[in-house]
Amino acid sequence: MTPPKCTICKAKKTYFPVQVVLPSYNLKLCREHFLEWLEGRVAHTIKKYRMFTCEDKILVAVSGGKDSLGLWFLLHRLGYEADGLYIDLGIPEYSAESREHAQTLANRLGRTLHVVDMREELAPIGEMRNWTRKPPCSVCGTVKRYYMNRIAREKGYTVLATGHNLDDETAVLWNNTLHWNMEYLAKQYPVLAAQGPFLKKVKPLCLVSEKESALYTIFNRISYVKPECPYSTHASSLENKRFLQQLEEARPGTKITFYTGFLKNLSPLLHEPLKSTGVSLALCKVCGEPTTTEICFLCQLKQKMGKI
Amino acid sequence: MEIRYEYRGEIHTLQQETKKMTAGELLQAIGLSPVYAFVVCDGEVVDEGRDISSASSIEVINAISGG
Ligand SMILES: [Zn+2]
Ligand SMILES: [Zn+2]
Repeated sequence: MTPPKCTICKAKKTYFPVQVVLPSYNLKLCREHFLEWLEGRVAHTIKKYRMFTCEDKILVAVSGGKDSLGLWFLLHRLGYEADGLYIDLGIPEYSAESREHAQTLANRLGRTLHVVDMREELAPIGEMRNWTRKPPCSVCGTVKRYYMNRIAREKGYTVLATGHNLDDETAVLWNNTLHWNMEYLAKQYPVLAAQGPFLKKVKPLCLVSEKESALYTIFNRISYVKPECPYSTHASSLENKRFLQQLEEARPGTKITFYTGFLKNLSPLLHEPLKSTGVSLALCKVCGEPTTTEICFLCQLKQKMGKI
Repeated sequence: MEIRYEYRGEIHTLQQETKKMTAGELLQAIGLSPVYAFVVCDGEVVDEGRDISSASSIEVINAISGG
């Protein structure tokens, strides 16, 4: 059996073997043309949603996983000025390994990696869990959001970029739609404008599937943490992702149509009316960071643990 | 034959009655769909039809992750 030929090479009459099949776009691509296609797609996403320009100083929140490290590499390749921020949650073995991958990429790109070590800031995430009823993924998310915003602002960055991909966004959209959670649906957009002490937040990989993202990282020989986070095994987002993958298998293109259809058709309708009734933001009485309560979650935790 | 492969940082083995196996057959045997998973042989991403029997290193990547 002769191997299939790359859609683009075939048109150019040079024949490289196919390494990636993308049924959602009816494309079969060789390594080079896949990389070109994906980078072009992200460059287009950045421009279309007005995420940032070459004048911006970008901080990429890196977890040591394939998506955030791939994103950092890709932004660098596209010529943007981007540094990394790694939040070390002190998860035994897992954190040390992911931190090492983040540092390796920082060295390769010749860019700065800022590190926040939770063991020095407060306590490892495993210990924090005992002081709150929130589920571990929720504690982790809150801690990360707090430091991402604070470090980015303090260090003078203008945009904060995260590695959320199409599968992450679709799983959240699906969950919010199932529960008709209008407040979250109104907020779900690949760009969140700067608001007071909150920095502009962007998701340049929002149209890139999880598999495409993994392929990009592997093709570029970026090492990333392979095992799942030991605390995330029962995350409901994983169930939603699996369910959506089944739909995708039966009807290729379902995810991208669902997500882009939402952005085009529903998001504009939800955005305007809800924007004005948004939750009012105050500044935490202890640390001065933005919060919806008098004292922010992190300072409340610090108080409970007797650290302040 | 026996196929050894790495998955999420751990080494697994798969006993096979046949002498040859393609990347697609490996994914099928371990219950992963090519929609979200793929095989890396000797450092190269391979398409589903590729015979992987003689590869010296095989890694299965499942792109779905939580969080
Ligand atoms: Zn090609
Ligand atoms: Zn505070």
